[in-house]
Amino acid sequence: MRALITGNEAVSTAVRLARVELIAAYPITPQTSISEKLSQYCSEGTLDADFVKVESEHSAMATVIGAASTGVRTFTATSSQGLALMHELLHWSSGARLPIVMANVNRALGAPWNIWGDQSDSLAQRDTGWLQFYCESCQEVLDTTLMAFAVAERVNTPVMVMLDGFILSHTAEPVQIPEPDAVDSLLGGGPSPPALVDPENPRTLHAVTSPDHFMEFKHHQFQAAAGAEKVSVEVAEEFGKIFGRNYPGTEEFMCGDAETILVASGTAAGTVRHVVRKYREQGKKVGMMRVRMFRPYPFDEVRRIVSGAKRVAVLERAISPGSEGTMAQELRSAAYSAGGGPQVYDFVAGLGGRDIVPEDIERMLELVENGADKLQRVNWLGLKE
Amino acid sequence: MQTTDYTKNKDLKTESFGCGNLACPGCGETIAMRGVLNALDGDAVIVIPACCGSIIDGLFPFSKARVPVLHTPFATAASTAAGVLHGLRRRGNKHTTVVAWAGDGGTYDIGLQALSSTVERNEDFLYICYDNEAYMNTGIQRSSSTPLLAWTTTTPEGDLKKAPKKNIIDIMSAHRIPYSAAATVAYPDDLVAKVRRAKSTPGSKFVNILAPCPTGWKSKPSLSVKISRLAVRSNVYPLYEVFDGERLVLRDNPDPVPVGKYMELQGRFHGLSEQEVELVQRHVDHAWEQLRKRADEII
Amino acid sequence: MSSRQDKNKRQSLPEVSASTSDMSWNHTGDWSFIAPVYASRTAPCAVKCPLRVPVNDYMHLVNEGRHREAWQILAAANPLPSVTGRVCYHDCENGCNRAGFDETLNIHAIERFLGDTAIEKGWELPVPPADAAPAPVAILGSGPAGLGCAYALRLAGYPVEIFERETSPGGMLMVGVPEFRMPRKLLAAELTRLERIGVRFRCGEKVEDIKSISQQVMGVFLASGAHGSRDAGVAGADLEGVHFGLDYLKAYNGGKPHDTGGRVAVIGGGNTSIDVARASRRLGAEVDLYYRRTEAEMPAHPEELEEARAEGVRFHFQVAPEEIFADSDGNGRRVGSVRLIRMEQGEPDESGRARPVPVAGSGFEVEAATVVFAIGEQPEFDYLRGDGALNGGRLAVDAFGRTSIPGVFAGGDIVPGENSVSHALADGIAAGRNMAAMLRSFGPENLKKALDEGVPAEKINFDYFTKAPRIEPATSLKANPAGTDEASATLADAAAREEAGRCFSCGTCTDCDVCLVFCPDLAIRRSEGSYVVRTEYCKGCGICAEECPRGVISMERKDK
Ligand SMILES: Cc1cc2nc3c(=O)[nH]c(=O)nc-3n(C[C@H](O)[C@H](O)[C@H](O)COP(=O)(O)OP(=O)(O)OC[C@H]3O[C@@H](n4cnc5c(N)ncnc54)[C@H](O)[C@@H]3O)c2cc1C
Ligand SMILES: Cc1ncc(C[n+]2csc(CCOP(=O)(O)OP(=O)(O)O)c2C)c(N)n1
Ligand code: SF4
Ligand code: SF4
Ligand code: SF4
Ligand SMILES: [Mg+2]
Repeated sequence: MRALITGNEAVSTAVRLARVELIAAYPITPQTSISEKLSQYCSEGTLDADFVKVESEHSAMATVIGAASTGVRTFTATSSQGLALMHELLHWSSGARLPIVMANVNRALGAPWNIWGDQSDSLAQRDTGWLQFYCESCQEVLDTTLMAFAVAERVNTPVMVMLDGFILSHTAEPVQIPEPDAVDSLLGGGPSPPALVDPENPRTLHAVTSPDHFMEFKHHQFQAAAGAEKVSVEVAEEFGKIFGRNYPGTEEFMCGDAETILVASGTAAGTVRHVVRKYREQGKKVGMMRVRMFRPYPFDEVRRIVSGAKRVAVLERAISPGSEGTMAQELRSAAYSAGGGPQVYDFVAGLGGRDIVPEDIERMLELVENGADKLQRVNWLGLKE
Repeated sequence: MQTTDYTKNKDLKTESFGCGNLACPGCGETIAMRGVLNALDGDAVIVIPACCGSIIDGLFPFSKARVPVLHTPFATAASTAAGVLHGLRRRGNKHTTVVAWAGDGGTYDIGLQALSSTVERNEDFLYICYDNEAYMNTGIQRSSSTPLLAWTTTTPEGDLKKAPKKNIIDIMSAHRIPYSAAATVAYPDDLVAKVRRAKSTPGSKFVNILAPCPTGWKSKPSLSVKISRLAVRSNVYPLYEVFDGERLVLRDNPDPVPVGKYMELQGRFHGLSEQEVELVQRHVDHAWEQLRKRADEII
Repeated sequence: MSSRQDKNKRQSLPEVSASTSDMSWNHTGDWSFIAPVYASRTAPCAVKCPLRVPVNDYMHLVNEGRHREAWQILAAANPLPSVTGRVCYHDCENGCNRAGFDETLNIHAIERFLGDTAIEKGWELPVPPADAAPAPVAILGSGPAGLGCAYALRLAGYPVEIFERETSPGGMLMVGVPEFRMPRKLLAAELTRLERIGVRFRCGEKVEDIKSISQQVMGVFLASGAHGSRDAGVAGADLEGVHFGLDYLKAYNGGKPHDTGGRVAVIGGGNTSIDVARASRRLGAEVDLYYRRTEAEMPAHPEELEEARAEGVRFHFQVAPEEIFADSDGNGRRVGSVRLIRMEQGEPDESGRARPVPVAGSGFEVEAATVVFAIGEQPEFDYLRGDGALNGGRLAVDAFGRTSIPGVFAGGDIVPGENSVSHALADGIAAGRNMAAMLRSFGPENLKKALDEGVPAEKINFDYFTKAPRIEPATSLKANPAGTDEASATLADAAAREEAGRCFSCGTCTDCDVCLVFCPDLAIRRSEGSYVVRTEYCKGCGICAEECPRGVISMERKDK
């Protein structure tokens, strides 16, 4: 079935199809309509889940932690300030190895107040132990959310699915809605995995753990996150077989012989793709790499893609004041880890929902190809004088 | 005065937790937990946020508990418990009592928001605050449960606590929850009765258990129970319950002892002047009078 | 369904910090060097009791209605509870810790209740061991001292015979204490119960020479009491109608009372004087009692004084007789009046009390038809024929009750110390045990308990008890008493139980579980009806010792 739905509706639909059993969420723009839709599903019975209407994101995450500990499938969604408020529990839930899935509708963090798209919120959580996937389309949002459950439950690690605030969350696109049976065949659909909290088998979880053991647990957690790359690929392949849509961890667009590779994530990739296509028509050797899986970071894959290029320009919808952009740092470490590698340039654009227009991309290309000597460590695009 | 039935003919194996806990000698927390778990016949899951209780239970890979324990961040006792509750019920377990077990810091302060929301939704769980009237785990800092003129490391001499203790039962009553109660370790019969009443009441239940802390109160470990009893006998800590946020049943104390008798056993009140003790007495008398006036039943 | 489980199978490593081992390895007992020790301790009432009756051990049983078990504990220490429940001066109650809380426990009333109940129900004393040692012991005198000794020896398996010059046993209880205080059928009941465990009475056999019996037995216990009278040293004492107190009572108790002439003057201030006065009231006489010291100094017990007063006895203090005059109207041989003189307090005498000295010129005369001197009795030991070292007119004994004559022990009124039924009983029991021990070379029994000071009131946790007034049995004191009806009643069952429920059981573990419930470390466990301390977990907090309602627990060094 095809339907014209927004990114947020794609999330809610995926959650319904995944037969999530417990949801706890707290409203925040632009996430709110996900929770609203899910409440509606729960109340009308199209989704048999407990929706716990908590008083904060902190409690939302705590509640899904509690529920996931008993082995039920859980979901929450948030944005920006809400995600920041959850921070403590993001670490806790990943350390507790709970397969929670969360949608984060990317939005700027104040001050000053701003409700529009910006990836600073989720990039700031990169070290919390959550796996992160960034989506470009409503279809991808739906599909990624479904795959998130499979990945999370196979590696016992929580997964965050990102969609840009408004640009994707509130934009309707035609989306292929999967059949429930097909989803069940991916996710099992049946009873929940074994419970950590189980009165029949009493255990004490997450007690104070001394230096004698702590590192081993962190190592387990670390290995699980690293291993998630392979598992994600497997899941994407299974997904592709069932649904005919394929999602590589990293999207390559005309990168093969590209001398300049532009790197983007989320909806900005659409604009970049448009410009790349235009430049290719002009015969320029330009390509685009879209970061879809950000955690775990697919180092080998990224290195393979960019190693042939002369230069790489990273477009970031986020900042890390006092340093360069997070995406650029990661890419640099992937690109240079085997020695050599392309020149990497970092660009900031579209913060707080400012449009990223083709001209921005063109200017970026122009700068890296012809004006590299004028570039700084971090370069701001579309800034008013 | 006391005829506790819960230990009768009980051997160690059927106690809800075993030996070797890490509490300081004379700690009220363990006495309280033992009473609660026995009252629940061991059919419980305990959710413990950061507090002394999270140490007392034991370090990985050990635990004194014989029921499931889920440790959770400081502010989340109630909200995590709500999640566990929903999870268990969805998995078909309809009997186990989900207990949030938090200190006063985790209850009166950082966890109050989550607690408020959870009980406002009337989640079917039991919240126990073992109240030792300060942040003990971090080394005795004041909480909003710390009583008037008590010493803590953040209300040091010369700057003793100026605000009286927050009344958490009032706060819970204002949520109109089905059951809230004040209990303390020196009255195990009363404590057990309250927990059993809570267990058989659907919806959110809250029991505050005054649990003396020899380390933080600067009292002799041997006096923990005596101090708990004096708290009641001096009206510093009246024992009462509130049903549906309305009907208040107060345990009478016809022959109260002066607050000084309670305070003199605790180093945290040492060095107070007569006038200061008098001030505390006035506060206590006033609160007691108010409570008596409000009470629907005095037993 | 299964597909999900297969595909999404969790990795099998212990990935999550899940604790599954208990903490029992953690011997928190190492944190401290002290731990509680449970030790039954003597209650202060038992310390005060001459018989050391473990009151603390049986009161809770009475309260629970387990009267027989209670009586067995009581009777093990005291074979005559029905008697002592009436006549013992119950010093136990002066030790009672409850005094510091509300009022003392009415121990003797409950003792009497148990004693009477045992008689009513026909409860028996334990049967002495069958393999009894053959060595027989002879006892001289069947008063409480002789009875106590016989009891202890019988329990240890020794054959005993009691020689008694009177026609029935009981000593002063039979001949001295009047029936209205000590019903004879109850006395008889307790005596025959002793007979049933093999105590043999040889009544009507006065021992003239100790050697006549000592040669046939392994040991002798002398318990002939104090039956001799003291010379009053008052002119006119040879007149008709002048008697010594004990003789007067013996006649009264024997059913052949002296003619009082309607007006009796009793001289003296001890218990005998009161009994004489009360008996005289029952004979229809007007009774005046004259005592040379103040009321406060009177050796008689205040309770008895009160009872006598209620019965119409008139008391006069600080007066002493100077001379007795014959009745001028009669034949001149019978008492008609007494001249008395007022006394005042002088320098202290050897007893530490103020010596009463006559007030010059204060003499006055009162009418009297009978004058009874109740000024104390003294022991007589003609049967010793001059043997045996004395001490202040009494037979000297050592700590084991041995006289200076080999194989001869003594106790009760003939030896120094207090003269009372329970002291005599206690002397007898102790001597009997010592004789048994020495005969069989047993070690001295219960030495620890005997040395115990008794649980102080500070060790009693008053918080566990509720105040309740002491229950007193009814008395029926009449201004004009008559007959031999007992003046006081025995507690009813419910009242006895209620009163027994007031007992703290000082020093006795009643399995109340307080320690068990409060131990934060589960270091106290039940074991075979009592408690054990798992010192390997005890952190030494001392809550159990602090909370124990009855002072059974003390914190002691673990290395001890
Ligand atoms: C009137 C009176 C009232 C008393 N009231 C109380 C009271 O209420 N409470 C209390 O505690 N105490 C009371 N006492 C004191 C108490 O009775 C004595 O202290 C106690 O009886 C002493 O016991 P005993 O066995 O040493 O001597 P006794 O009871 O005097 O017994 C000695 C026995 O030895 C016998 N005997 C003596 N010589 C010989 C012999 N040669 N051959 C054979 N038999 C012999 C005597 O006949 C007598 O039966 C009272 C005393 C008197 C006189
Ligand atoms: C978010 C957060 N802030 C602070 C702490 C540090 N912390 C741990 S326990 C504690 C105090 C606990 O006090 P209370 O709840 O009264 O329990 P107690 O230790 O007194 O038994 C604090 C401040 C923490 N763990 N988490
Ligand atoms: S500090 Fe206080 S509350 Fe914490 S373990 Fe010690 S005694 Fe118990
Ligand atoms: S309370 Fe009982 S045990 Fe204690 S002294 Fe009094 S009678 Fe004896
Ligand atoms: S209460 Fe427990 S830990 Fe404390 S002294 Fe007694 S046995 Fe030891
Ligand atoms: Mg605290």
